Amino acid sequence: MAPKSAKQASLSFKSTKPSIKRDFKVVKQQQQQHNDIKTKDVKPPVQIESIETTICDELVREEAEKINSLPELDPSEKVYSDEAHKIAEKSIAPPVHPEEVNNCEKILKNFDFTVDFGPVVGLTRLERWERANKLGLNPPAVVKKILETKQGETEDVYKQSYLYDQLV
Amino acid sequence: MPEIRSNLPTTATSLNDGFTLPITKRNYNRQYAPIYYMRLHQLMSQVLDAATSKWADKNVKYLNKCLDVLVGDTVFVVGTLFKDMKYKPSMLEEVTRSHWGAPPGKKPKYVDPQGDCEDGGHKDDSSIQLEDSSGRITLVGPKVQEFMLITGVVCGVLGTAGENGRFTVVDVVWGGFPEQIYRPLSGVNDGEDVEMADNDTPEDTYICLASGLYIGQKKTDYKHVLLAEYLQGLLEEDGAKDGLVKPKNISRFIMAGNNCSLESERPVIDTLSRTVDLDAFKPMARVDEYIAQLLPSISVDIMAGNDDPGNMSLPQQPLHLSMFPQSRKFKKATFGSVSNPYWWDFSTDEAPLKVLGTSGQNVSDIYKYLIEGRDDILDIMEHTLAWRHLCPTAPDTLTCYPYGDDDPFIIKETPHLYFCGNQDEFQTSVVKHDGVSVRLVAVPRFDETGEVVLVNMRTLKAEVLRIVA
Repeated sequence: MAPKSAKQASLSFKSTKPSIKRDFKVVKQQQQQHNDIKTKDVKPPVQIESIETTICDELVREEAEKINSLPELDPSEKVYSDEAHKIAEKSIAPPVHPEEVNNCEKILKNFDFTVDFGPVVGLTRLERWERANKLGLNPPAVVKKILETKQGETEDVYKQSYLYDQLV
Repeated sequence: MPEIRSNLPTTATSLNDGFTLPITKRNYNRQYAPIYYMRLHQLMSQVLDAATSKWADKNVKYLNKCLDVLVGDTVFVVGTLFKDMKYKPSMLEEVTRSHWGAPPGKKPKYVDPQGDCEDGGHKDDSSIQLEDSSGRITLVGPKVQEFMLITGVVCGVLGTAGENGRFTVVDVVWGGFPEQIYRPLSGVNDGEDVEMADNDTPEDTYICLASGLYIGQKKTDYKHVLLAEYLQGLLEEDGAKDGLVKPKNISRFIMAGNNCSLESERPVIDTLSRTVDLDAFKPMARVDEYIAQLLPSISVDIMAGNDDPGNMSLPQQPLHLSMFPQSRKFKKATFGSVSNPYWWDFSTDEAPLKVLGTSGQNVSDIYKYLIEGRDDILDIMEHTLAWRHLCPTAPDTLTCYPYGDDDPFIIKETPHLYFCGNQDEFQTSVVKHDGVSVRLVAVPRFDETGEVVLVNMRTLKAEVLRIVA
């Protein structure tokens, strides 16, 4: 039914809204100006334009609007390169595949590997960040900044942990 | 003239929030690791407080990672325990044994009684390990046998590491009893024994605890009928002995688990006449009829148990109201279907009163971890409060829902009355421990013993009522 099926899959999979199986038709009517009917002549019926949408479409549109209101992610920002630099200095081994992975992904992967924040499997990175925050463990704020952007909310490479496609 | 039954006001409490799982929010795709993580992190600070206050004079170091222990140092570490036992259900063993022979029968306990010996588990099958985010260390030593060490308990362990990497234990500490809203027991001064508190006055309110009712059993048992008549006040009181609690003082009847029968009254399938009698086995309909006759006169709370038609994993959700077509008419008034475990709040302005109850699975599971002679039920219940966790063996040997962001079985507040249903016999005691005073009650199975427990809500004395039919 929806041509944007790929986006719909990533949006509605972890959506907290209950899934609506049956699409109820929502009919919006645009009323046109009625002229005063002074004569008793039978006028032709007034044309009413109706826009038909379904509840599912409406929800999808709301979520898309919410996502569009988030800022864009620019991996080349200085903040991210500084942070990635700090992580590289602390690490013992040289990074694997350094050219394919941008700075933001490096920061997020380092967040995944931090043992203090707990298990990685079964949660999105944002959920894990919130959980660590609730426990008072001070997770890095730059990670939340990356995750609360448009790409951070929609693309699995940022949103989900590194084990997402291997181990649900 | 008709007597009015005494009323015990109850309010909904937020302590039950963690136990309700709305169907739309459930996600069974998760692993169990987050539960252990949340449990360790939420209890760690309390264990550290208890450890530093207990061992302050010993000048010992605290290590962040249990793998950091060096040989010879006396240190303490905090982590989650793991107890490996001979008969613990193991999937691999089931597969191997079923491949090569008959699958093993169910043993009453997970531990092997001959194996547990005094030298701390060297040559037997049960070994204790402490685990935290860095790794595991094995705990050995004669002191290990002194403490009740169960899988899933968060504790701090003081000791030294030996040459072979094992940690010889000197002392163990856990979080201790959580804080309790102080409840002054009327008529009892500090230092006086609670058991000798003033006698029950005629205006005292009671609640009746029963479990293992198994209503609808094959054998015609008049115990249930007598119990129902007693609670409704239909029994003649002239011949009643002194001291028998008057039914009008009982304001609430709590059915703590295992309410419906497992066998049918008459055979469902009759091979001779080739008929199928579907009306023969309707256990929940019998339970519904039983409760519905009580509801016009007494409040009834029904809690799911192991053998009830509800979900198996803890926390068991309230039994669905669709199974109670007659009782649910009283849903807003006297009938309540509650989760397992559940908190009741009977606080009034003068006296706070909180009750925590389970159907007994948490305690019965820990019972299987302990050898004979160390498996006192009240001891286990007291330990669950001291560990600050209702069922530490979940999710290891006790199924539970895979929570992702919280462990709701952590006890944050000590109740004034704590009961567990479906136990072998009635046992009760009062635990008084630095500022906390709890009445523990083990509720026996009704179909075997015919006993129900009556608890005086003013003095928190528990007595048993035995119905013989």
